[in-house]
Amino acid sequence: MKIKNLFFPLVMSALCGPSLLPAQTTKQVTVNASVAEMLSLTVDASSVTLAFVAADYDANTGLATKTAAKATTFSVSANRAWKLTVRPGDQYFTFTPLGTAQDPRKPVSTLATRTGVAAYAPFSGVTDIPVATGTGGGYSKTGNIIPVDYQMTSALATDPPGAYVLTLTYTLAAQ
Amino acid sequence: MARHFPRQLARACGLAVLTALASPPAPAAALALRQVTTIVNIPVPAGAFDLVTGRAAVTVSSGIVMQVNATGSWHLQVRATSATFTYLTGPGTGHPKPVAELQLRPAGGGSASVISTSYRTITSGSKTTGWDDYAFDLILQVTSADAGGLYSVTLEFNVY
Repeated sequence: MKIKNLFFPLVMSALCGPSLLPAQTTKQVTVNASVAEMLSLTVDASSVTLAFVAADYDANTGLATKTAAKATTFSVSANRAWKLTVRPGDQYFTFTPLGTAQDPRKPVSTLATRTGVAAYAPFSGVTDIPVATGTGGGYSKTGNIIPVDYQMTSALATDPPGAYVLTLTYTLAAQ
Repeated sequence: MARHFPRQLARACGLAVLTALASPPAPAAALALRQVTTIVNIPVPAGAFDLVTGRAAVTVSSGIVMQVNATGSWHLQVRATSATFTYLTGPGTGHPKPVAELQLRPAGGGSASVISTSYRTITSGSKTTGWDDYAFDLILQVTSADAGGLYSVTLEFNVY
């Protein structure tokens, strides 16, 4: 009786041993994709010139307004929501006189900007002005090509002849 | 007779055991799959994006290597265990990136298979010479809808 009890498990073991198990035929692989945040801003022109000539000034008021339509075009490519802002580098234009005129400290508020057909927004000190917002997409996405217009006013009474320069910094940021 | 039966059974069992122990090991499985790769990382740098379309296509050559041991003809198939990638980490909110934006193809060329939750045969063969390697390129399509971050999906390989 003891012999029987010994052999039966052995027989079962031999029949059910690992060599008769079916081979494993399924395996799993983990695929990780590390996607970088992408925010790209390009501009087609790094300088804009608004040239005032004598004929631009109103003979009565002494004022002149000059516009540069679509003077700079920005292109955005991003994989998340974005906003484009612009900020003047100073509160005043830097001035290089034609002759001996003193710096009139022409304020940046005499320069305004807009996109599309929106109203011109004058700059106000060294503060950001929103230019455009959008969502993920390349240049081919509607709204990701942004032409910018500039408008500047000048007054004979306050703006002596010379070159007025202002640096504008455009910033593309995630939102 | 009936009294001898248990003894005969015991003798037979003993014979069976001895036979099992004395014979060479049972032949190896006719078909088996082994993996060299358990995790594969696909980096998608910002520079990989086409600025006009906002899309990127990144290929990881021989990113996955599996081994097949077969005594006859076989087919290797693959599927994803979920229909979308899991957005693990990142500054954005992520979105359900479909696994169909991932493709596998035999390393170095051949037709690429779009991944889905259904098994799709990616290669096949006949009797191998032991454990033969089979490498696959991964091709990941990324769109500008894919916020920056880490995406993950599990692929299941099956040989039959």
